Amino acid sequence: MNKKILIIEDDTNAMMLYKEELEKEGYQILTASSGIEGLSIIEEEKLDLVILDLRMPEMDGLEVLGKVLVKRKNLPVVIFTSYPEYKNNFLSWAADAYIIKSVDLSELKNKIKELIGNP
Amino acid sequence: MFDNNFNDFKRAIFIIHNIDKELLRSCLDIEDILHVTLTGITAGYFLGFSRAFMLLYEEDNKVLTGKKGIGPFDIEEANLIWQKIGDGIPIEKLFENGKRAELKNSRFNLSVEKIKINVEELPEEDYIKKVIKEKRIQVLYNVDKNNVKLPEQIKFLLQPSDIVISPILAESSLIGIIFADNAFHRKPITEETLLFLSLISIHTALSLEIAIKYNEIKKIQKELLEKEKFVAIGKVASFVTHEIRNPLVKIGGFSRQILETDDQDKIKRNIKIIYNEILQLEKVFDRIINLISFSEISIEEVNIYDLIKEVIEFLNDEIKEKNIEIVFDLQPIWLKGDSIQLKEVFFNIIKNAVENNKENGKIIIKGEITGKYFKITIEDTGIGISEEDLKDVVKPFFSKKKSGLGLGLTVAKEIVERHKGELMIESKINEGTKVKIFLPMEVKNE
Repeated sequence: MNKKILIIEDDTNAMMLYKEELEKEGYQILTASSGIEGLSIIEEEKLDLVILDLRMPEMDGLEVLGKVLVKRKNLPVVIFTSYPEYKNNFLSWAADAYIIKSVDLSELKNKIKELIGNP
Repeated sequence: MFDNNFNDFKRAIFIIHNIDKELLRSCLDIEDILHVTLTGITAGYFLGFSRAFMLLYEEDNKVLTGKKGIGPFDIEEANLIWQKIGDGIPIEKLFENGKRAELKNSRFNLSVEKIKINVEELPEEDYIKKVIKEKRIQVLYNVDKNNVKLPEQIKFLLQPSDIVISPILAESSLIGIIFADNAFHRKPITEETLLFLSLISIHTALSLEIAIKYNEIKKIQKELLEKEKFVAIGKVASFVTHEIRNPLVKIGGFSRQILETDDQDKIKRNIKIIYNEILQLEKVFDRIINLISFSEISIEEVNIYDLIKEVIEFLNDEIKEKNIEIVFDLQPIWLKGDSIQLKEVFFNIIKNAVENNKENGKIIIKGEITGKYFKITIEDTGIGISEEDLKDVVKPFFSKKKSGLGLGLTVAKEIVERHKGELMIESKINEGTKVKIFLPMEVKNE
């Protein structure tokens, strides 16, 4: 049974890219285009990891992170964003990793492997 | 002096008129003023000195700096250069720019440009000190290069000749000093020539004073503008990196996929995505450039009434499409401001009011004088903004719309503040938004 990862990302193209790239690695990928949608999936599904974008309309990533922690204390969360400055926001410290978006996805892939092992 | 000689009088008028005409034409450029003055002094038509140079004085550090010299350095050059700029050239060609480069690279000019004299270090008997102190022309006849009481840097340039040293004074403060001599041809310096030189010095002084002040103001203005730009850049920098990084990551990722696949459909799909991301990027750039390259506000009389009418006219299609009623309660009023930038303010706000409005909604535009300000209220009956979002709406790149970049209100607020005004937003979810713009009745340009 492949490990299940949820990507919460409001940008459709970006989401498609990450989904395809991680599926290639062998993970099973679920997607949510908003924090609210993501939270309902977290409640329904047994997930191994969440990849979370920060600046999103409706519900901001950090707020989603807080709610994930309340619901699933042990679920690993990787913040994946193009904003470096939220690293200084202590709310972001609750995540298991904080990765700046880059064309090279190897940092993200390595971190996932480190957190949950092979697919 | 002209009593019995009408021709002398005519010549005097001719000289002053021609130099003045050129000074006026070159009015704000120091380099031009020096060129015109020195050409006038040396050209055979005019005063006929063989050489002339000018030092400008800096009051702050009491230093005289060599700025420009026209004339031959020594007897060998004399024939060459003198012919070129002298009698052989028609008068209207004399001041032309073509001669400039040639003159600039002459040995005489290059030597003049090296001169730097600290006036405070000069001995009392030095002629430069005398000229500054007495504020009048000094004439030295048959100068002996080795014994004349002048700084070494000046002596270096001298040839056996008579020298005239004339101060350039503006309201009795020293702007510079003109040196002129009759080296090589040794035509005697007449009283008439000295009078002309004094007159030219006065005219040059006036032109130079204005040009120097103008350059100072220009410099300060430029510095201020740079600072403001810097702040504006800092403000948007983090949003900019985000707006650029996001599309770049996608463009990079999808292009790498192309490299790794042979699936034609996927390649086509990816190229389409990449193309669209690049279009997005271009839009981001355009808007950022608009945001940070605000020109200084130009202050002119602006009729706010006309400005808003124009904006409404421009948005007419969207207004009709949603069947929005515009309630217009504004009298023509003239304020001082930048019409183009203010139009952008009203455009951004009214466009928001239209886009966020409901079908058959209303936009109410009101204007009234409150104290020193003219208050314009633009109120819509749209979807409104939540209390939480309200504090963010003027931040760059805040937008709830998929298509917008979230810069409209940022730009509007920035422009209003540049006009020393204020922009305030009130809103209630599902009831509408009210934007209040306060513009000062008088805007002073800084």
